[in-house]
Amino acid sequence: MKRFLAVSAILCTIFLSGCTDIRHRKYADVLAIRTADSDTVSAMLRCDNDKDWISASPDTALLFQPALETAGGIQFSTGHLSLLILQGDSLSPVQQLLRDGWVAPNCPLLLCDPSEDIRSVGDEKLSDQQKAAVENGLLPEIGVGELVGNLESRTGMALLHYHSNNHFSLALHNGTTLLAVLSNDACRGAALLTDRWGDFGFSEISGGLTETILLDSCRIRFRIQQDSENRLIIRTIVRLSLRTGDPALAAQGATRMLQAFFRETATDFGADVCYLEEAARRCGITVPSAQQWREMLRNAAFEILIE
Amino acid sequence: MTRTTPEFSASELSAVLILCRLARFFCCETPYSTQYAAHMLLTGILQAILLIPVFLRKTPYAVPKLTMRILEGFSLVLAADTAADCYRLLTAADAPSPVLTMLLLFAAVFYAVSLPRPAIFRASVFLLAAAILAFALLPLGGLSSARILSLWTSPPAPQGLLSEWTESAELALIPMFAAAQPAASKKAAASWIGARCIALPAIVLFGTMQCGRLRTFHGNPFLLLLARVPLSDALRTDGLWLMLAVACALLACGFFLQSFCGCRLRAPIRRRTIGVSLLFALTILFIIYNVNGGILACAAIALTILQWYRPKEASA
Repeated sequence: MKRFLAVSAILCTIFLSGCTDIRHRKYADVLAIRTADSDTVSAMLRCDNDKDWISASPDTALLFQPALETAGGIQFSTGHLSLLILQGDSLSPVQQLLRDGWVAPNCPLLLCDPSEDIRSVGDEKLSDQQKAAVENGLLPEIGVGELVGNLESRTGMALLHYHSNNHFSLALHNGTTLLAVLSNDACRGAALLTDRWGDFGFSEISGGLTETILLDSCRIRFRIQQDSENRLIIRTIVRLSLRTGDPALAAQGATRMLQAFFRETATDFGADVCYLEEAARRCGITVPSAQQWREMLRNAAFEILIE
Repeated sequence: MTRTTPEFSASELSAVLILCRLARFFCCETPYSTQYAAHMLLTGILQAILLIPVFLRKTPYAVPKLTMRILEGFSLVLAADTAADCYRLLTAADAPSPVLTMLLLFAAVFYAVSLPRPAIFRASVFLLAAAILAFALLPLGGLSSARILSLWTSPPAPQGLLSEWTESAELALIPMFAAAQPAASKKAAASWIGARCIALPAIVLFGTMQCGRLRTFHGNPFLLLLARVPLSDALRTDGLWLMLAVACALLACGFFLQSFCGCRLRAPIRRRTIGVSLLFALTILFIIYNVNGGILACAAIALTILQWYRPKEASA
């Protein structure tokens, strides 16, 4: 037995004490993907503490990894990406990356306007600015997992962060086409729905004076009913917890933001990006086919009740 | 009257049985959906009904020899299957040198099997305690990011009840232990059923709430759950959880192998009985890969339950 233990200890020492040779592996910080059409892809990658970008143009999205590794002459680990930048119409590379385990589901992502230079966008402290925008309730928290989950949902549309002219907003996308860029109010409404911000402040004008309102938290519930004509009545019950400001003005502001959000997503495009399908199912409503569900959302009446 | 020391206590047997299921949970692709959690619960209830004879039995009994050989063969198949699942997990997690890790795992398993039976049982209690502590961290880390509405997300494909039967195949071995110690086995079976009906569906529901609408994730969903919980930012976590998963798989393999041959280690090996068990193992393996593991598990349980009521003299 002693001999067996000694042999095992030696084997463990030999096999388990070796580390990965760090000279052959780098940790990517930012990965940028540009799609021109469905088949043409170019990818760029920047590593930690590295100013140079490694770029490659694989024939298909499936060939990202070998193309980048060949271009860089090194293996890449992308499990700790701080930002995934996208440019172009197609979002299929993101689904591919998630499926292949290249990116974590909570990896933040950003869609860039086609006119922007990805290198300069990636070189800026964009990732930190994006995090701050989420923390301050300007944008909802959206990762690769949310994007792919929403794209694979019944309505097939998803929201993602959008950057254009040094300004962050939200884009509504169906996987192949950018449908709309949401207004500031709609972006804030989306952030309000997620309730994953640190500080949520806004201003409202009352009697010619501007009042500042700070929220502590926001709890949202959906109550969905169907009227006699099968039209959906979606009641959003919002429970606001105020830190400072007038409750009536806070309710007014929150209602405006949520209404803008529902109008620009559900009413205009029939998009379901805030679990309306699940809420309907919970309320005992049978969810029809994708086309009918989109139509029902377009015709739905949205009511906001502030508590 | 001589007093005999029990080979295992109720807590030890329940720990080892729960860890066997946990090893499968870590290694297999358990879908995270409300429907699957409901199926887990339903299967647990059905299995509890199947185990009623174990709960009713008060005195030791003898398992017929043929049934014993079948169960031993089944244990061997389960050991091989668990090892294969463990290898799959190591590969999916991109662990360094999965083949070498498996070789070391086999060395450790064979060493564990060569130890007296209580060693594995005692180790399982410590490991289960560590697993419970680790699982307790998950809700602490991920409660704020859970979405309750995700529980109503429709699954992309219908979930099968049979997979849950296959992944809790250690059920078939419970009567084997109940034959020797009915009282301890009764409690162990109750805790195993409790863990399967309450703890595992709860973890699946928690995973469902974390993953939101993302349902078609390829790979081990447990890694997805870990990636979604703020405690761990990276998808490819190779820390505590991987060690825990491998340890559970190691212990389960050891337990299954010891169920297969442990009783013979201290006695002269009879080639004939080992040969019969191996033959059954091969037959079971053939059926698993050509028919369905669930049907096999049901058949093994039915066979055991039908035969174990025989009086001791009849089987001798």
